[in-house]
Amino acid sequence: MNKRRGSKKAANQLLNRLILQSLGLLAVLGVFGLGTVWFRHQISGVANSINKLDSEIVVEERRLTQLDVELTKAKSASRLQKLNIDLALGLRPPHAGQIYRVSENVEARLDGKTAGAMLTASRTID
Amino acid sequence: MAKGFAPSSRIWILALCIVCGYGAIGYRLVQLHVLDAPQLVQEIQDNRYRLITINPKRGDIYDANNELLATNQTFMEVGVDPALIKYEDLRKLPTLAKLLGMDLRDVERAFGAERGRFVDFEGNQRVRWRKLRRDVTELAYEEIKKLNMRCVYGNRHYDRVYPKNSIASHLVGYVRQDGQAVAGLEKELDFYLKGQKGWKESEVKSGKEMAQFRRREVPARNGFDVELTIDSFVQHTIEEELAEIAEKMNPQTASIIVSNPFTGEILGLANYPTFDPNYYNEAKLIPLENRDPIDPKNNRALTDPIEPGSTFKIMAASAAIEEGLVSEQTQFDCGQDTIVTPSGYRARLPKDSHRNGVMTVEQIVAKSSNRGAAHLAVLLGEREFYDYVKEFGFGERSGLSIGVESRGILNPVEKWDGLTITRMPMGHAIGATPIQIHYAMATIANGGVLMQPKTVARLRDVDGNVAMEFGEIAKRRVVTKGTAERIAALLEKTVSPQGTANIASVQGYRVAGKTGTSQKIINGRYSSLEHVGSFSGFFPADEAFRPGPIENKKCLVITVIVDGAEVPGVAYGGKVAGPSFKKIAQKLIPYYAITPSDTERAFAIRDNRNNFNVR
Repeated sequence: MNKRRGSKKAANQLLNRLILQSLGLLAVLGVFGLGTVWFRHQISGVANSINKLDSEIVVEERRLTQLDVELTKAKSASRLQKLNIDLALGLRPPHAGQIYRVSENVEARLDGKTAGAMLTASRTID
Repeated sequence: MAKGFAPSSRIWILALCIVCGYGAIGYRLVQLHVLDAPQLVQEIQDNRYRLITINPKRGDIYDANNELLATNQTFMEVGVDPALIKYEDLRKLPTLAKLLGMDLRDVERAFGAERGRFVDFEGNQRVRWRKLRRDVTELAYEEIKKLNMRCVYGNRHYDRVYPKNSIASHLVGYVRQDGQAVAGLEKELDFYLKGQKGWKESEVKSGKEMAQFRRREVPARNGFDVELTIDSFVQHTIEEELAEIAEKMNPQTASIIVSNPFTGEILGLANYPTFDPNYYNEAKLIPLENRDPIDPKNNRALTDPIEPGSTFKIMAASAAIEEGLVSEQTQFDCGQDTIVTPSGYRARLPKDSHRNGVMTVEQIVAKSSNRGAAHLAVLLGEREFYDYVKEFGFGERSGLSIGVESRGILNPVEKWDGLTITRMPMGHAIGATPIQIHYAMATIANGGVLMQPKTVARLRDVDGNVAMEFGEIAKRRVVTKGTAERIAALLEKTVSPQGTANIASVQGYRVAGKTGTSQKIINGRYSSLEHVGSFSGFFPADEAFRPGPIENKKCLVITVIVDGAEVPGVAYGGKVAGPSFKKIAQKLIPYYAITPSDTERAFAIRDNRNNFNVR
């Protein structure tokens, strides 16, 4: 009787361990599976976001190009000449008498002026 | 005592279920991943796998000031799906027509409607797409979408656009709607401009790429941007001048070239008639009576050889001075009618416009004497003269790679007849393209060195880094600097009050140049009615020979050629082309801040030496 009870106890223990291990395995596999699905979902999400951003960059580049084209058209000499006439601005290129040619070193002169102003300011503060 | 969770029979049943469940899942997995895998993968591949081509962006073309000359722009081809038209859409048609820039009646016709009512309902059911307009901009399309008309939608496509329209159209060329570069720099630099296609292996569902399944990707490499030596201001100036020439003189064709003689850089090159590369297919042939029609798309500065006329006289003068056969004061009897040629024939000399007697070389150039030029060439001999002509770049392509270019016509000495040696020095019996005439003059301005024409300054990659830089190329030395300087001094006399082109003089600047007038050959004969008038010159002449680095020197060579001008009397170069030279020079002086010449001193020296009353 004791022998039968002992073998039943061992079987139950084995079964319990088996069920627990199975449940444990299921939990691990489930977590792993869900993790994989979540991970893949994230990959898809990121990939699609990148794709969307790429498309947006392309759209923005298209708009930039269009703006460049519009800007170039607006700045073209023929368009400016037309505006000059339409708006009666009376703009014209300078003629020889209006041009004053500077023979001295302009950079040195401007540099001198700037430095002079700074020195004046420092003297005022003192 | 450890007890089970359930009676043993139920436990075994549960265990069996779990095992069967796992077994079923396992079997299905094996079936999907092992047994049916090849077939299923194939199905997915067939349905969703795509090898997607990534098109590169074609490079842009900029001028020397970084102004855009050619770029790519997306346009929407907008159409209407008549099957989706609703009655309320008809009320929106006036706004749609305005946004499309179309006539309302045309839009209504596409909608099968008239005055807000359908007139072609049956037709609407059969047709699924009626094109409204091909070149709708993205901004306009966004406005159209705001009208909320389901029946109106568009397909995006890329087109090459030229924002400055006809500016430098013969140089830049154009790309056809099918993406094929067919002319100008667009064609010549197509390899660099077009870039390299990329590709990606991916899966597509409902027409959209499933980015998560992208396997491999080779990105496209965008084309290089091209920076030209052309300056839009110069180009606009000469095109404006051509338009004025066309309006005043109604010529058949005309060309103007402006360049920097020291580097060979072309700053502007334009032809009349011209075309807008945005609408290249609208540039129709211009018919001419009894002659080939004119194609506005042709770059005549490179393709059309003409008899250069008197601008060619600098060849004989340069060669004779270079060889030490003559000096400026050497005299020739230009009153005699015949001459004994090097081959022993007595040939008749060409006529001058007015009878001259004994002339110095200086006077021959200044007064453009045909007989004097013939004397110089005869003195040189046929072979020597031919060699110099060849050295100046005639009879060979300039090397300006912007499409089709003619070599011109320069027959070898063996094919010359007895008269050629007396006719070629005055610019007859030779065919030269405007670019050849221009660079021959530029050779003098550059101290005797023939430069290779250059229109492309550099290539840049997408990040703006210089990928390729094109430096100046000196082809060869034709004459010594001393000879070039002496010829330049002679050419200054041409622009003096005693010369043939005083009209081209620019106040305050020393101008060296030469006029040219040649009769056109019509039906195999020289016409006394139609002429090609030209002027080729440079200024400031003193700047050209001033010692110093070329970066600090500002000198421009300008060539104006007007073919078949309708003016009273003969269309002399001094009359039809000289004034244009002057006007262009006057506009470019403030732009390039060109310092005036030390005129008084310079002319005073020559006045004393040569007894020339110059200004």
